[in-house]
Amino acid sequence: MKKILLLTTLFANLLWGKLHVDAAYPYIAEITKSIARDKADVTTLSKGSWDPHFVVPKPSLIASLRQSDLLIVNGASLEIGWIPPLLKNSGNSRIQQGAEGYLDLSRYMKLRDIPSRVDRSMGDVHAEGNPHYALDPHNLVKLAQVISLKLSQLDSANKSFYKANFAAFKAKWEAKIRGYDRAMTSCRGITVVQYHELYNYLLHAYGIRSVANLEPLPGVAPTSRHTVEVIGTIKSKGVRYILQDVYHSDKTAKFIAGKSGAKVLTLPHDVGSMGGTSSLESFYDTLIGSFCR
Amino acid sequence: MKKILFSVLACTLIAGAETHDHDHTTLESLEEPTKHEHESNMPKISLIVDAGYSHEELDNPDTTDHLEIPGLLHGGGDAHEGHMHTPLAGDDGFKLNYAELMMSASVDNYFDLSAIFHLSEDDFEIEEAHVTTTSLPYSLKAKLGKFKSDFGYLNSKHHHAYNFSDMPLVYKALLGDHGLSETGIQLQYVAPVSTYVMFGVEVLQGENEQSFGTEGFAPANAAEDFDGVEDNDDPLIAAYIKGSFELGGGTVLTGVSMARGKARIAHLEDEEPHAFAGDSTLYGADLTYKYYFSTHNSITLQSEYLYRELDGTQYIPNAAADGWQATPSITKEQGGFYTELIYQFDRYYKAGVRYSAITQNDVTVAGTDQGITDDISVTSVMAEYNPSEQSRIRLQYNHNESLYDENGVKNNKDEIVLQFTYTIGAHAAHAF
Repeated sequence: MKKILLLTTLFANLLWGKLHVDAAYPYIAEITKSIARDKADVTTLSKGSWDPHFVVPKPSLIASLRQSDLLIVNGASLEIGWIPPLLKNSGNSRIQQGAEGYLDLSRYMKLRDIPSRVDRSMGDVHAEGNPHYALDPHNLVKLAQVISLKLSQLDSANKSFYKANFAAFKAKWEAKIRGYDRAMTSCRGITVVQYHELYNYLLHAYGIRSVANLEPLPGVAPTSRHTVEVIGTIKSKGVRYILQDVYHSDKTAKFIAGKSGAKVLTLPHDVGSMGGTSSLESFYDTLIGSFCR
Repeated sequence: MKKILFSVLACTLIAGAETHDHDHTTLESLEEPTKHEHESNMPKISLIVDAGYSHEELDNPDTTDHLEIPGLLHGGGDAHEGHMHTPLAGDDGFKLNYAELMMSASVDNYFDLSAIFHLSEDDFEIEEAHVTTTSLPYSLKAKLGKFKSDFGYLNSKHHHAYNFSDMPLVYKALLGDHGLSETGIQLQYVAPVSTYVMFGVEVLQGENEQSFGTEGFAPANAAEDFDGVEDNDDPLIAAYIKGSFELGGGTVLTGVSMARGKARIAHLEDEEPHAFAGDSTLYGADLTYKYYFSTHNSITLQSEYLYRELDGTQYIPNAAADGWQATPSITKEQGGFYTELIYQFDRYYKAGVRYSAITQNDVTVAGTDQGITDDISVTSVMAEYNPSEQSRIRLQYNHNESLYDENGVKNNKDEIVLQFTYTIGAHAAHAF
């Protein structure tokens, strides 16, 4: 029986070799690595410090997509500006949208902020809803489960391996999340403003109210008139934090902080987006640890 | 062999057994219901409107009608073969440059279709209409229909994707206002290696206004039994290799291209009627380097060199209607380049400079070098403001040293262009 199993594995490896997985963003790559471990080569297509909406569609990435067995994207149109031309040019039919090797994680998430109508005069609004669901650590376990099931589907010989790794991931993260929940209890009910509606999922999970955005519309730069309004809102609502991402200029946030007394919190939005966030753990630890200290 | 068969069987059995596992969670069961049906059958549609204002000043404002780029391009005014060259001067004021309507969708699980209609105030033009395969094996991709050739770097890009309001001089001189936009088939293959290497070949009709052509010609007043120059049935073949890799923290995209076919160029209705038939070969080499300091702060250096060899016979019609006045052999060996440097300050502002020049302009008629000048260049500077991804305002200044009058006297042109470009509809991908 052992011999058969060995042969089966051998045969599977001969046929498919290691799975080649491409991940749109670093957090996806990190989750995938903790499930697939040595059974897959994982390539990250973007950098954590970049604006996830504006990843550079480097032609050099096509080489990786050409070889790929599985492409995992965040979805909800976050990649609309950069993945489609690369995917098309790769010519790889296994990972085209709708194929078995194309995994859109947003389809497994309850998306928030779904607009009742979409019009460009509203700024860069995503019709599918807010795509930044990965900022809520509570979504991690389900994301890992989806990735684990997809890996099992493509590489059934290692199904039990992926399943065991998912179980370990789940146990570890459920404990971590309980710790996060405890740390965030003192934050409940506070009000914040944010540059872009990037942290909505996290804020919602912990009962934090976001009362304004520094950008007047999604994807539109702050204007002086809008900035004055935000300062007024901060004063009248007793806003504690201005949530700033790493890829927009923090000039406006600092100006507003100086005028209003609210504190600027520069938060990571992905693995590797700032110093000390190179792993999934340190990224969420930094994100949660920034609040209510 | 038996063993392998056995293991395959075992594999299937194990897989079968595992479906009876106690955990029945499937991917499908984890999906969240969507509130909207986004994946409808409606094609993606977008419309681009490009309008602007320009003002020019010529060294000698009296000779705008007969300006030419010697040995390469003569200015419009006269319509021939149903098209008009853009005038090389005298085009001041407000204008609607064009509107472009784009539609695309999957035809079925084998093909994607996309069409691009180029609309000007009086003209409707199908700029592209083609299907692309999506499921060929070995990462092969085929395109069929009318499309912009992937020859070179800039050729496949649409007007609104240029970093300047106009085409660089060398492209305009060797390929005309529309570039290599052809009907035919394209096959591309991405090599299965860790560096991006793509091979492409195209079989095209070959109807470029500057360098290729199929339609035969005869003088308007030719006798009935005079055949003139016959149609060409040979296709235009284009082939190229492109590669891309990371270097010093930036990205390199480079390629070499070649296109070989027949030329039929008939300007028989012109003031000085002339025509050409023969062989034409075009070579191209391009290099792009992009370095990103952060997402919205980058520097790009982009250069391209084009070289063309035309070899054939020149035809000048005879007023006596008994054929051609003279049919000397003619060769044209002409080349040039453009290089541009673009700096993107942030998400909203960009500025750049471009220099394009003809470096070789050898025209030989019946073995005699015509001594045509190669002192031909255009320098451009631009700055643009993008209030959003869908709108752009661009200011450009051109110093044009490519124009000569009929006596071969240089007539430099300075030009200011203000350009407004707006897009509605489907979100377009960002360009590299």
